[in-house]
Amino acid sequence: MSELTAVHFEGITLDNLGQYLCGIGLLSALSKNKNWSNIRGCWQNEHFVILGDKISVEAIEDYLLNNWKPTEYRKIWVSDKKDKKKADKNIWELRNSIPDEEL
Amino acid sequence: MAWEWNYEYERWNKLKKDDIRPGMTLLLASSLGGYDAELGWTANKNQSSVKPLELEHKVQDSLEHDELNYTTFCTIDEHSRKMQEVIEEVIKEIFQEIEKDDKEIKEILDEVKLAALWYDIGKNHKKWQEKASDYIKEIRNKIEKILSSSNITEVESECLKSILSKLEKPSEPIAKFPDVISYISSEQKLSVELKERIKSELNIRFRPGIRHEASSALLGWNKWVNGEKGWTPLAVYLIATHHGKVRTILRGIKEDNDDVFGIKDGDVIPAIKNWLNDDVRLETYMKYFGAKGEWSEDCTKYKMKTISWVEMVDNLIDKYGPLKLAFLESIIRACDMRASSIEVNK
Repeated sequence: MSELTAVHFEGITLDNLGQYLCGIGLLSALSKNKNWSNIRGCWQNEHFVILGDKISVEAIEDYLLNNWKPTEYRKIWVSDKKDKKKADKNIWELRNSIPDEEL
Repeated sequence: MAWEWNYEYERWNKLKKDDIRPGMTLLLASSLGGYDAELGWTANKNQSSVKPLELEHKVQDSLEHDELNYTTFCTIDEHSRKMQEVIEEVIKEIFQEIEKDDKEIKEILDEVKLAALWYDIGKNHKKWQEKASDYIKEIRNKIEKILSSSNITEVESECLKSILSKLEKPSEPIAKFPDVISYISSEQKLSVELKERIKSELNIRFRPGIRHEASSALLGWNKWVNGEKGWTPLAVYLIATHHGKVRTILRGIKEDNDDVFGIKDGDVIPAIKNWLNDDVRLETYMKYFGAKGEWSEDCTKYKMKTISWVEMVDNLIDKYGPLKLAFLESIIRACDMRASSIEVNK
């Protein structure tokens, strides 16, 4: 088994739910990078840690600032109220017609 | 109010109206009415006379129960050797069309063979063997009690003595043992009344309290992570799945939930002639999500030792897909049934 480099995020703690979600969100964002497909995250001494091959604070900063794009937030049920998209069945159909990566 | 029988835990579960789906077999009070055997639901409350349904299919095993359908004792060593013959035979039958030099298939088949060899070794778990001895002892005591009663004929007495003689447990660890109820049902010399009486008196189930395939799989996991030759995640997975109870999650079935299908961390599989030279201590850490490893002193490096069970299964699904895995599982299951039927016929 491999040896992984650890990058500590001491500002992301377990103090509240928002911080917890921030850690999970960071892991999700970094895992989109094809070079870091085996990336892992954990909590150590009450803060978040990212573990992976060829990973560093600089590389993470560079990726987040220059390459990563947040997932687009779309209110699919608001786009066309005339079609009564608010109805459960319509929302369900619409969600199923959109590729996963766009949701 | 409707109730559904939970096979895994052998208890009735109360259902809410949103839990009810087509195809379910439910228990309802006939006094509620509203059901006609010909028409189905009629909402007519006066129709309160309903014939109870007979179960058409064989009930599933509970998580703590092992099915018995054998007429003789079979030691772990004997059964595993039989499996070795059967798996070779079956693989030859199925894969005769495939080119022998296909390296990938050859590797997969080697893993299947390994799984078939080791899939029942977990029955050497102390708890399984102890419960098997207790079960056989209890059955013997009950038969002896029936023998000592005055209302059986000479022929019936001889027949019961012959059954008792088949319940002499071998000194070596066993993998299979006789299902006395089935044996008695097929015995021509016993009267119908006596058969029914014996069946009701011997109506006890074998409950080892652990799933033996989980025990075998944890042993296989130990071999894989310690780098023993030939051991791979696929072999470990196929051992775990051979009864369809243990698959993607290693869950606990005891109240404190810190077990793996009844097996506690630190439980031991004792050494067994021809198979294990030393006792093996089982670990259950892989049931938890995450990777086991060690931190460097300054916490900048993490040396991963093993992955979790869930990750192992996820990797296997990525590599082979669910259909190939199901096919390989079914080979092991079919071989188990074939090996057991050979033992029964013998």
